[in-house]
Amino acid sequence: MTGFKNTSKDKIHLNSFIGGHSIDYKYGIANSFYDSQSLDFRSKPSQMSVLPAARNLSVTMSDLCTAMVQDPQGVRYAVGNQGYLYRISTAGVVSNIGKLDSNGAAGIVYNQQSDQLYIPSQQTVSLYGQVSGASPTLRTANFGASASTAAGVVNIYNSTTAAYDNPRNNAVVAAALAGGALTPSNYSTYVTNTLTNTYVLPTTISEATSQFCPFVPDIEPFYSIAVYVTTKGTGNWTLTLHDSLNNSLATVTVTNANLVVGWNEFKFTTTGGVRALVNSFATGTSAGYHFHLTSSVASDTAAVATYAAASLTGCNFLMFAYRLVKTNNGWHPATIFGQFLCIGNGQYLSTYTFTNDSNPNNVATGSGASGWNRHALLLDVGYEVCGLSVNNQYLVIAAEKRSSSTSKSFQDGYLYFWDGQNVNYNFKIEIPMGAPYSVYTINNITYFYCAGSLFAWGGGQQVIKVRYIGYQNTDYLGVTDTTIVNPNMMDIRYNLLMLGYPSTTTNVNLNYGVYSWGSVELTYPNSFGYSYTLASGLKNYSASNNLQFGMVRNFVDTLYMSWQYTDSGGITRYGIDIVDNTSTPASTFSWTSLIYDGGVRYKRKKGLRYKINFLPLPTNTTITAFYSIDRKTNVTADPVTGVAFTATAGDTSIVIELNNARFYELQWGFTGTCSSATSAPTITGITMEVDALEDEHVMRKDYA
Amino acid sequence: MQPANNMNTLAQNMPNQSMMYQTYTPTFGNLNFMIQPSMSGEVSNTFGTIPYVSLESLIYLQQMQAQTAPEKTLPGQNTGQQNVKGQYTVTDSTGNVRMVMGYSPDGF
Repeated sequence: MTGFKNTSKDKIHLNSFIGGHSIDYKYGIANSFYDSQSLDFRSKPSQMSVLPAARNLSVTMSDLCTAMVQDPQGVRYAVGNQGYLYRISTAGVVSNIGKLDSNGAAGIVYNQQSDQLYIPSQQTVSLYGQVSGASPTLRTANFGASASTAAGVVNIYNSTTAAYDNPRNNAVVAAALAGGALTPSNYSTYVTNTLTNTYVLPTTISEATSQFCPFVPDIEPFYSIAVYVTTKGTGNWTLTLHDSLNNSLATVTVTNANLVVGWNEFKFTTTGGVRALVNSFATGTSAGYHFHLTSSVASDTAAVATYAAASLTGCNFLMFAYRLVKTNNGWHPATIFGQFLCIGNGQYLSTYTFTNDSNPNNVATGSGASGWNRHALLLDVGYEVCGLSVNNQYLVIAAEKRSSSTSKSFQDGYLYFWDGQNVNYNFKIEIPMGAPYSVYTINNITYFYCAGSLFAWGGGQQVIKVRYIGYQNTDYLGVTDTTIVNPNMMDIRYNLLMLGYPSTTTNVNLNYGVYSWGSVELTYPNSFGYSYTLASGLKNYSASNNLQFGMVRNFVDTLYMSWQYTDSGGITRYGIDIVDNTSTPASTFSWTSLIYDGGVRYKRKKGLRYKINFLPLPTNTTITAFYSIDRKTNVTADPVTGVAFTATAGDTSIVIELNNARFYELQWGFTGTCSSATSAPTITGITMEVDALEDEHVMRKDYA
Repeated sequence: MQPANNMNTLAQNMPNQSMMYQTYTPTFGNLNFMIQPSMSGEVSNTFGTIPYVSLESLIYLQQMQAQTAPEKTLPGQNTGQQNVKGQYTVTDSTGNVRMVMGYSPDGF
């Protein structure tokens, strides 16, 4: 006769875990669970094993790496957010090989033909190479400011032809002689003055027609304006830049002692340069911008060369512009798309066709010519590129609006799609949910983060919300959500999408780490898991640790994760973690079931036994079972004896007898440890036995 | 007690066959959505489950639905040689044939 203990009861049994993490506590797709850490539940859908642990590759870096590439020799290069450039040898040795002229901008591209790295910083692009050569050289700001040779700048308005076609100087020819573009360092060699008339500087600004020099720029932000001085006089010179409404945009004064007869450059001190509208409308002398020249001394003889006597309109000048726009987000993501090096340039996309690494010519927007085009695409005003990705048809350009306020963020974004041919982007999709961060394409589906969720675009009119990664909702937290995800936080590892998240946040509830999305074969569903944590064990931001995650990059079996945090001594540490084929199993791992209520939350049930099956536990590993009744604290040890529910090496199961465990909701799981373990624990089944208490159907207030 | 074999549970067991019940659109969401089981007082021995929706199937449906409005078709110029068997027919906005170029067995 079967005793009570052996009477058959309902069992909630899981012998597959392929559904991955659920969103809800109770509901998920088949074979899903609520949470896990460092578990591989996909490779063999009928079991779970422990994923490899991250370990420190370097803890002595100088800044937070935000982009990484590899050359054909297997050497990897990374750039940091403060501009440091690193080399990771094939032996895994990290070395600092230089520093850019300003902060890094989360972009680094390798061109195998030129054997050079192209590395944007805040307003320039640097070169490092040839990387395969004996002595690679870092050429900081190799692509820097250069002069406009647009007709609206180098020519004077001709009232007869109603066009800007009277050359004020030989800039166009000079640029060709210079090899491509005129720069602040070479222009005086090539650009000459043939104007014989002069304009004597007044002491005050007048908006009379002859008292300013108008121009229509094609590139921005303005870096400087150089004018040809014929007589320097005795006063200090001031160049005042106005827009068409005569708003003063910038003033630059050069003391008389620093003036010379000939070319003199007035460099704007505005941070990032003077922003301007490019290709702005102009009629006659009513151009988009103009400048005045004044002297500090009355009746000075100071004069510049000009086309018509006593008129500044025809002044012989050059206008230089920065290579890149200084952005609020600090990023210039970069990638190769067809023939182009594409660089996110604030509200523009810059392209370069690798025509002349020494000094490429400036290409006009829409011309389709080879060279460097600062403004190949004009995106919506106010948006800044925050990511680039390439699918089978388009370059996908993600753009955000970034506030400089620490507490008042925008909630705007766009995805732009460009085929590499059109003079404009082909189409765009608004992302009003927030900034579309870290765009990345796998299997021709372009993914991105937005407001804490994973989104996908696969060719339709809409983007699809896949699932949330972490709730960025800060209701009741009393803090502003300022969560940001850097441009290179997704990659592929073993055919799964790796999702580094977040990069920076003040939300203490978000778990830092690498999440995963995908399936091992078409039969199984796409699923989501929390796969890799940082070697430091830090998982959450705090005001004291200021934890940040720079980038995720995977090369076959090697996964890199860069980080920064502030240690207990107040020192900010920077480093990079690695997961590779020599990694040992993760030191801690966990799994938590959905909450079970039998579909009848109002009714009490009773937990009887909880059993976990696993392959013989490897040496130096443990598994500790737990359960939680009605969302209370996890019970991890026998309440009476205090003996932990822990299995040790060699065990193949653990069974817990629940002591009078009446519940409305029951949740269970396990935690585990691996200490210098050489092989990973493998869990093969999880079963909870419950008594439905079918004879207890009283609707009554919950028991305490 | 096992859940009923309805559309939701079929979708669970055959996740990639869920398209046979596919009434999802990004605009209207998953019209089949129903949490399983919906209980009448009996205690289920499973977790609450919801149907799987394949991202790839949604994207396939999106691509099937994607159309280019005629007015969005861009004019262009081509160079080189193009060989055509048959004919080009150009119609106006009312459908009247304005130009035919090429070969037609009953015509040219």
